[in-house]
Amino acid sequence: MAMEKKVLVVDDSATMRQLLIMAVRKLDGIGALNFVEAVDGKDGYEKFSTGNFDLILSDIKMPNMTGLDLVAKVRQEAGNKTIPIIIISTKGEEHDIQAGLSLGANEYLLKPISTIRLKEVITRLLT
Amino acid sequence: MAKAEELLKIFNKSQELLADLQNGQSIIEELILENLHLKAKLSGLQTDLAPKVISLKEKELEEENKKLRLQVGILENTVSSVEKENREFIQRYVEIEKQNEGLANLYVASYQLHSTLDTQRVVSAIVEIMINLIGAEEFAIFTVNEDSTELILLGGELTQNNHRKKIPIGEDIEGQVALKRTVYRGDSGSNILISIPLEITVSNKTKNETNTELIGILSVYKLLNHKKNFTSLDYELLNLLAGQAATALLSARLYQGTERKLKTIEGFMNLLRQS
Repeated sequence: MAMEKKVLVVDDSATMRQLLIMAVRKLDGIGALNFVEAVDGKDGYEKFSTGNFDLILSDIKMPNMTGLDLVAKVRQEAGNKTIPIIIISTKGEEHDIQAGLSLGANEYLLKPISTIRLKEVITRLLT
Repeated sequence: MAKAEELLKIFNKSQELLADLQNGQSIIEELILENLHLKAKLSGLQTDLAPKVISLKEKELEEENKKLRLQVGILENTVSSVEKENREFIQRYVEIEKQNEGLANLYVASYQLHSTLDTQRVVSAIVEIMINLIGAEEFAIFTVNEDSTELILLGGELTQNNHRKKIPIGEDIEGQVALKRTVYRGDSGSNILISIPLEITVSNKTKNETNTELIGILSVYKLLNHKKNFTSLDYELLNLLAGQAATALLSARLYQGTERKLKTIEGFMNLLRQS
């Protein structure tokens, strides 16, 4: 039996975390996912450092540490160049998207999230 | 003498043989001529038959072609019906996914709204739902005061400070929504995109009647920049959210009222004990 993929969900909104987890609990061709929740970038980075994750889903606007800072910190470390990172944000201006992608995020999705699109992106990044 | 006779006989025989040979030669010549005639006839016949053979072949091929065309047509029809079916399945899949998305949103919204009896937490849950699930950038949640004369601002996301904190019932669009208890939908140029009354149905068992009680209103002034309009799913979710938010706000209000009363009674009891 294949190992469950481990996903870190970083968002200060409990509603959003719950929604994301519900939306992508199980994916075709990948199976069930195992989620770890973090309430902001700082909490996210601490949890990321102690766990072996396959994917990060992160908001941008969060207290203590933003999602962009989290992406930058994760990508600075040599071993984390390839872990897929998806930013999910309300900030939809072109320069926001470019900032996220240039820091090393693989995808930049906008809220309110389309679960169909999210499933497609996660399936692509995890296979 | 005998020798001469013999020679004469031989001569006669040779004459006969020569005559036979000459006869044979003329027969051979005739046969060759006949052969040539026959060859010419055969070649003529072949020339006459060729178009007939060809047209027969052509007909066979045409028949075969017709059959193949018919088969191709049938196959094309099958393929196009399978493609149509496939498109319908994809469309159905997308519809089901959207329904699932709506249900998941509603489930999460309900869960978050009813997981607390604290008014501020209920308001925070409404704010999160409005931003993350609806895609609203500016919005406000108002509650009706105890006398049912005013709408009082409870919270929301307001970038401008000139939003009114109190609106008398019946005044302006939001006051009218509270008075008439009907949803207001503004056009794209309007300051208010939508204003929804937050109502709850209350049944009075002693009087055997049901009434709707207005708890507050929810107004959206602006959507996120990348979101152009409300979708039909947004309207459904907003309507359902209005009911759930009203219940959650009323529950929190009743709980806090009960807590206050309990504390007052406890204080009063303590006073009585001390005296």
